[in-house]
Amino acid sequence: MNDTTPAKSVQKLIARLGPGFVLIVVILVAAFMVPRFFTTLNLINVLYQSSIYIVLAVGMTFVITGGGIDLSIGSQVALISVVMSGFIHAWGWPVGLAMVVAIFFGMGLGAVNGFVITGLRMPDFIVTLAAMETFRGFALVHSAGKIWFDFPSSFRYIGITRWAGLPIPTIVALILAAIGYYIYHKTHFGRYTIAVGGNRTAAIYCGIPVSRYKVFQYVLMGGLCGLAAILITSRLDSSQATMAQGYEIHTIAAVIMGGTSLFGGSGNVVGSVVGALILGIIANTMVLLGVDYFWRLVVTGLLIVLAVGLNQWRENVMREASLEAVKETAKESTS
Amino acid sequence: MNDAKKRQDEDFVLEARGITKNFGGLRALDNVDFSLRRGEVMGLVGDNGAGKSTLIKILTGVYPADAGEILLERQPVTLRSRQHAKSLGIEAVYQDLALVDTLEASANVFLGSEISNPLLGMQFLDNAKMRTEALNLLKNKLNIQLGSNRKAPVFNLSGGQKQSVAIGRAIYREHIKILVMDEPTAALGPEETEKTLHLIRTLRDHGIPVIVIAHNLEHVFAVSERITVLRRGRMVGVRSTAESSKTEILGLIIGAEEKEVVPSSGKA
Repeated sequence: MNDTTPAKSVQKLIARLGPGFVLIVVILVAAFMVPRFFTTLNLINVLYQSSIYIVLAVGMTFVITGGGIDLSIGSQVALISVVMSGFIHAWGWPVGLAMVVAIFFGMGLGAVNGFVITGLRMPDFIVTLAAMETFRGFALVHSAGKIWFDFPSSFRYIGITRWAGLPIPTIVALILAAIGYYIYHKTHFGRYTIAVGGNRTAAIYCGIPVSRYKVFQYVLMGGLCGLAAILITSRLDSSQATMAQGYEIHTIAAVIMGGTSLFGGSGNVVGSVVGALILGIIANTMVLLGVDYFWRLVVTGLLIVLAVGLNQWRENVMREASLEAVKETAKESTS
Repeated sequence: MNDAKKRQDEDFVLEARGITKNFGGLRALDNVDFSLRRGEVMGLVGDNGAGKSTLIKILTGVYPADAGEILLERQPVTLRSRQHAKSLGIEAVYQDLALVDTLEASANVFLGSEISNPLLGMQFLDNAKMRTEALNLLKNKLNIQLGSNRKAPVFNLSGGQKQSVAIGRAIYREHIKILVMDEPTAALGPEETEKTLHLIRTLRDHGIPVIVIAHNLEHVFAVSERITVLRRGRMVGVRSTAESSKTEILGLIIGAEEKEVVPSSGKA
């Protein structure tokens, strides 16, 4: 088994680096095509624009690892945003209270998804697809075509202020990613999320309340949609029912690119952050190059397919490597 | 009467008497007796549909029996559920192993009962401690070393290593009294089969009585002290492995010696 050709070694190296490899390639291409890419201002800008996807991707990593998927997150963000805007503008709530309620409202939306999936035993895909439509509908009903803007300065502070040179949304996203990493690897919640997605029967056999953990995953996702709604609304200083469309596609793509398996059971929080950065850099580069918005959609879509394909190829290489390892072990035990 | 006397002398961990189970109109088990002594490996054999799985499910608390009694260490017990049976020390390793492939060995051994430390009012998993304890358990009780696969996800492990992880999960609690293994060698190659049979003997040497269900008589003869044979829902014989032969057991399984063992019932 040790007769590995150089080509195979390179394959394995690329596979091991995984999303990190794609990130490096994307950065190199961006730097080559746009001289302005490597300025501090632009790099911070990329982090700033990626921060909302990082927040969502952390939650989505748990949902997908647990064997689920949440297609409703864009609609959740929009619904939470308009409801929160209503609290602040129409009802005159203090900003802090409105934000706290926004996060709890998001957790409530997630709980609805989770309870419908586990209670009615319906596929995650179908339930959250329906929720995508329903939540968007509620957002439209609530706002009745209104666009909220001109938020109090205390609210806009979050989106536009920098601490130690970094925008607050970026700081929030990076701290959140670190917390997510710890939850994933160091808590019962993380461990049972992997178990439920990896082998549901085994999880049940070991006495893990699988439905409860499924609901927790969607509640976490909903809470993070609340956080994302706060960040995006504050950054744009505007809120409307049609906002945040396509967030689910970008977030899922970032997570899958990052090395989380669509089939559940294994995931990578850091990889999801890398995936979000990759998409952020691609978007940023196209804006700097002056690519037309419609074409940007086309290119983004194609690049997502490419990156996910690369990830699948990577999984295959890794699986082959592990099969070889098994053979090796068998050999060792024979001798 | 002599029989009853003898029974009292023997150190039974588990006894089942007159177990009967119906599924609708079908009688899956008919007045079956079963016993397991301390420190022995009991082979449970029979053709497909003979009632092996049903008996095992009753003994591990998955189904209740319609009639009959179960004694655990001479005390009558009613197994209310699988969890209840587990809490009484009846553990089982299933054919599909029930491992989470994407988690490492120690995470699988401790799945559902992780070691954790409190910090700021939350519980954090102590992965290092679980790894140490799991590897020690596999090494000391099963003589299995994972080597370079210590931290690898379980799908990287060989069949025998996976088997040991599944057994490790069943036996790491100190109060284990009985281990049931359903077709432990079914999915394994010759090399791994030998290892698994060795594992079973190692368990017995550590004082854990084991019930092994297997199709392969070769394997049953290699590990067991006694063999219980089921046929069409009835217990048709218990033999001491050393004093029996494969021919005799096979005869019991297919019913060639039925007339000698039980009165012919003629029931289909």
